[in-house]
Amino acid sequence: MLRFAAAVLLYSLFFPASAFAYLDPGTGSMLLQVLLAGLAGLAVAWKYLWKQVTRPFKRSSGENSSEAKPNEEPETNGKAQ
Amino acid sequence: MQHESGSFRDRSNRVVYHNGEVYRMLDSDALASWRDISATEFFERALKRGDIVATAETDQLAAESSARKWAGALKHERIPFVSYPYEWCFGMLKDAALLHLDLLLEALEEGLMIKDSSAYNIQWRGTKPVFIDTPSFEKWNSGEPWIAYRQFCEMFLFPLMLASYKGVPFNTYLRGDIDGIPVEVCSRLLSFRDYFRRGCFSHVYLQSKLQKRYSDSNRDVKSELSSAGFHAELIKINVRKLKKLVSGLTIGISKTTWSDYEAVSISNDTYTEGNQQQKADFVRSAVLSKPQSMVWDLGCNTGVYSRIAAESAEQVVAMDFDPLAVEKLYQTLKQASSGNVLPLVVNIANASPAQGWRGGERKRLEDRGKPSLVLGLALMHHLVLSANVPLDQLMGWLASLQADLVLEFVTRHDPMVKKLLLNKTDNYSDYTIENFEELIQQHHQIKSRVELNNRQRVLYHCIAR
Repeated sequence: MLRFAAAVLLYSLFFPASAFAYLDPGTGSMLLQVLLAGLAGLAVAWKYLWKQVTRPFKRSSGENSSEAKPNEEPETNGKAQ
Repeated sequence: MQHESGSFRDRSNRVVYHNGEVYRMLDSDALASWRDISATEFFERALKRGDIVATAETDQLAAESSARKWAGALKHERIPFVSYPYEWCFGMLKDAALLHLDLLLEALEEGLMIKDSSAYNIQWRGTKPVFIDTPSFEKWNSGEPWIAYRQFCEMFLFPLMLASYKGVPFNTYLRGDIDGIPVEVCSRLLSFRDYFRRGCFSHVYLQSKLQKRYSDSNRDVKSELSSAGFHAELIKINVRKLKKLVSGLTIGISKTTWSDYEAVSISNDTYTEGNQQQKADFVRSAVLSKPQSMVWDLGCNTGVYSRIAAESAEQVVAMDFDPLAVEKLYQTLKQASSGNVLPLVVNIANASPAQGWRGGERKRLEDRGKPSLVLGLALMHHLVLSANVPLDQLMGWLASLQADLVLEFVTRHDPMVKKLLLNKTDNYSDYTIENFEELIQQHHQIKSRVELNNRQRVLYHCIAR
């Protein structure tokens, strides 16, 4: 139950723009959709993976950026629950 | 105005009942969305085909809605009898899944999305599936993946796969968890060999692994995918593939079993042809004796008498605990385009309970409609002698339905009763025709009675007092 509450909290913190979506899409299930599309999904998959690879470098060049902060905050929130 | 206790998950709207009609209250966003969606060609076409429940904006509840801060209201066509996926046979869940995918595909063509994939959003007019949750349609946010893909798998695809690949009826699973079969559970139920079957590796194995891998992720994958160029065509490809996959799933029972099943059910029926005709005539005249708004056929088997009742009754709900018998009836009715018989998988000794949040999300069978006539043909001996339900309790339950009854009492001289008692201690002293007649007359009046098969079976038409 605590885990569920934490998950809901995490979700609400990270997806504020999608308040209309009352359904949890499942991170893995969303990513799978790119693979399921086969060839048509290749370009998206490539771009997505490229961003993942280059992300750490972008982050290290701007550690104080506001983007990095929320990644830590909810974890503490989750544990505090 | 009475709130529908099962309508709360999507906060943007709520179903209510007023003077026997069904309405849906909408908040301002949902109202604006309804006006946009209902003006699309897709929505108009789907309404016309009857794929979406007949719906129109109404100001009949204007006072009520403003008092409760709703922005507006819709009026829906009333569905004759609400049923749940755990009461459907294989073919029904499959056809409901295909309707969902067809509507999604058509909606996507016009830049729309269905925001959830709940199987409860589909109901039935006879054997025709109808999508009832109009606010589920919304504008597709460019770059967004199919949010309800996982729910589609849990509520439609996995139950169908388990039934098709493993021969496991999904009814108990869906009744056990009203949100469907989670991917990790489905994954554990499949064996290594199953991963070579269509759809299992990608939709079950990969999805389960990915879900596990990213379960603690706090990344905004939706935005990441969007910025990586995710587009509607990818969803359409997936939906088309799913359509193909679902269409190819067949009930996990071979043709031989089917024909055996037929043979067994015929041999189980100990009637001669003449007696069968007499029974059919008795049922027909009982149904015709007054206008019947709804007939329940309990223990309908392959629905011979349900179809007789449907000749003159407005609606018939045909129930049997055997998913195969119901499947057979569903396919027969579908071919005949019969519009007023709803076949359901229901075990009368353990009928669908009230469940979900506060026991109000899904209703008991008895709370979903009032039959005017109940058929219980070749039913009571199974309930008393196999399910061990005391006869007085059974009669008490039948009386609580406050309907006229057509019942068949199968005496101890009947071969089927002898067979049922063969390996059991006979402690069913209550199972006598005298006791039955005494009990039935507490709440009903026997209008007519006919003996069949050398008095081995007796039919009663009883009128509620």
